[in-house]
Amino acid sequence: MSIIYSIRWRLIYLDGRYLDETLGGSSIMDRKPNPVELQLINLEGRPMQRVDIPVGHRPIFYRQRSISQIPSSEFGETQLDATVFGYGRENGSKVDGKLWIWLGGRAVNCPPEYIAQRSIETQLAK
Amino acid sequence: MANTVVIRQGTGAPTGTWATVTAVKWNRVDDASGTTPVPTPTATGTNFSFVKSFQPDITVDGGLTMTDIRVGKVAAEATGGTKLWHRTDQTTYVQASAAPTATGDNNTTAPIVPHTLNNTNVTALGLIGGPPSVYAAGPFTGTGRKGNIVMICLGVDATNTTAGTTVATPTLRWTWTEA
Repeated sequence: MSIIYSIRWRLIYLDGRYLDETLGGSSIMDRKPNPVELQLINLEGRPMQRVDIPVGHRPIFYRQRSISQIPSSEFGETQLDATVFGYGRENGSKVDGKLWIWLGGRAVNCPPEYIAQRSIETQLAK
Repeated sequence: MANTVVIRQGTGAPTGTWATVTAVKWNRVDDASGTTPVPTPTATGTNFSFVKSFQPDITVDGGLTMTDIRVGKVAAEATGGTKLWHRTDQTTYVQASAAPTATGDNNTTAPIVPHTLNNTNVTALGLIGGPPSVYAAGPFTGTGRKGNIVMICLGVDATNTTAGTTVATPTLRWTWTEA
């Protein structure tokens, strides 16, 4: 499935903190036109071990979460079933920058793109 | 490891004291929390808050490179008669010592912000979800403040009816890529 290589993902930091993991069901999908954004929710310091599975190999599912209901129209495919099963760190401190998804019967390592953000609240003095 | 990043606001002169801010009031004083109000015009026109200068600052270098910095508001202004204006094309800081000159229409004409004494490149602040254009492409590495000075002020026009208290205005958000 060539479509697997068109998927981009974004790891979004909330207010500059790690988004360690939790690929929690439908909440991770930010449904916009391509590229798809996966918003990973911070669970405060629960590092995952690296899951390093070559494409085409049978994955050892790890913290499997489903990305459900990705609109197929965004990919030009009739069916797209993606399951995030690995996102990890090395040595508990470094992000290895890999997100593995189970897509169309294959394990895919998506290239990393971290999107970080920081916010400040504002008020009007009246 | 992700960089640790804070948002700094510059105040004072000449080069500014850059304090971490998590909340800012649109006021008429050169700080983040003063309550000197922005008066509502009694006839058609817009009064402005002091211009606030911001920059993201990498305080702990996680070894990643920061690129493509954007800034925007999380949601549209919910309070009638208010509008956020911004300018991102300047690299040097100028202390805010007065509010931009009032304009004669209701938040249509952009305010004149410091540096060049014109309102060139002063535009309404867009929604971060837009997303807005990248204002600082980078790449940026290491610690310290990064990118151009982001100057933002709030215009209060004659259609505004709030008074007597502080009024919530949109959250500002910076986004960037780390890789």
